Amino acid sequence: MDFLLLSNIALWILVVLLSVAVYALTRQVGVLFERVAPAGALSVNKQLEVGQAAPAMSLATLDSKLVEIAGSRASGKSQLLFFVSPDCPICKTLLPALTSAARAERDWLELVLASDGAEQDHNGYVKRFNLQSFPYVVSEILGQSYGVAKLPYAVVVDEAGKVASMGIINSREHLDSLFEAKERGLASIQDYFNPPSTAADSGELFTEVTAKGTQP
Amino acid sequence: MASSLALLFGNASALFLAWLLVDSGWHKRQTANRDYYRGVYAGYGLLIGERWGWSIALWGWLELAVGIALLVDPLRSVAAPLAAGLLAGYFAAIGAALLRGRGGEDCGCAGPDGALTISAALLARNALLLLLAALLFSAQFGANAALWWQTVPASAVLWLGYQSLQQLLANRQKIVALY
Repeated sequence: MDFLLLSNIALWILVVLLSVAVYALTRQVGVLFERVAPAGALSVNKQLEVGQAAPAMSLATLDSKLVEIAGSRASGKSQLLFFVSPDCPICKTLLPALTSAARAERDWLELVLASDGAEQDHNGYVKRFNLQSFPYVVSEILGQSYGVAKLPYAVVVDEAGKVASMGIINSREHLDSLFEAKERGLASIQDYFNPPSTAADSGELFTEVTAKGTQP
Repeated sequence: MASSLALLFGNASALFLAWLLVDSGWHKRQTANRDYYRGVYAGYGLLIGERWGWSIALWGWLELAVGIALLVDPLRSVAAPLAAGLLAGYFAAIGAALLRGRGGEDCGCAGPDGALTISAALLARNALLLLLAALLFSAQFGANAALWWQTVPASAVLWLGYQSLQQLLANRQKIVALY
């Protein structure tokens, strides 16, 4: 076999291998988009609905100050009610992200930490996680009024005192999704990707977009 | 030289388009997919009543037959214009849907499992397919057996390129949805 024929064969093999590599890369990019897509907070609440007026109340914090929950507040900022418990392990892992987010968004958002159970060591919890700069409320009524069944749970109350977004929070992305949902005026970030008519069927953030098959 | 290249790419194109049509037809002939395709065709402005659902399967069988015929020497002269006609029809349907403002709706390109939507990029992809269909007319099946060892890898490259393009379109949809 002469050199031209051999090089031709070698080049064909190379072209096919390169095509395989390009295809594999495009698939991987697709998979990455699936994995890194913002995960929306699971919005489960039988008591409240997004858009309705949030239950307003005045409660005492751990350091005996009064904090206004929802309603009309002098600051004119939105409020993030974050429900935690000292014996909730996920809450502990989330606290650094939560306080960081609260500081980053302090121009428009006030963080209020809420818990219940008088027998728990809330003061120790606040000290251990450096939560002194945020109001910390221990109130069973607050959790019940906001329909909190699982922790950690967060509710964003907008400037007008209405529920802007809410959900179970398991990660910083879930938390961000509440802010994003509020900003976009949606009940949840899932509604953005899957409009209500289809979201109800799938219950997923994304319907998988595969690329196979052919023509209409 | 030029005729050898025409044979190579013509046959590679025939192999690729045969796969394309067989795969497409396979999806359409499945009874479970009828409602899905009725919905897709409705998006293109073609309303198919429930009792005419069998026509979707018939269309699928036609695609299957044309795809297989592309690989059978005496039938290619008939199958090539039919394949080109089918692709031109799909190109026109996508273009018309875009003009009617139906961009973003399911194009039906990947069967019920896929979610590619109607877009200008999809129209460009179909223009490339039309270009490949034009190559069908330049090649006679099996004219030079020695070329087949190059035809098979060439059609594999076409297939891989097409799949990559499909995936890129799907990725683009995700990017648009995210931002």
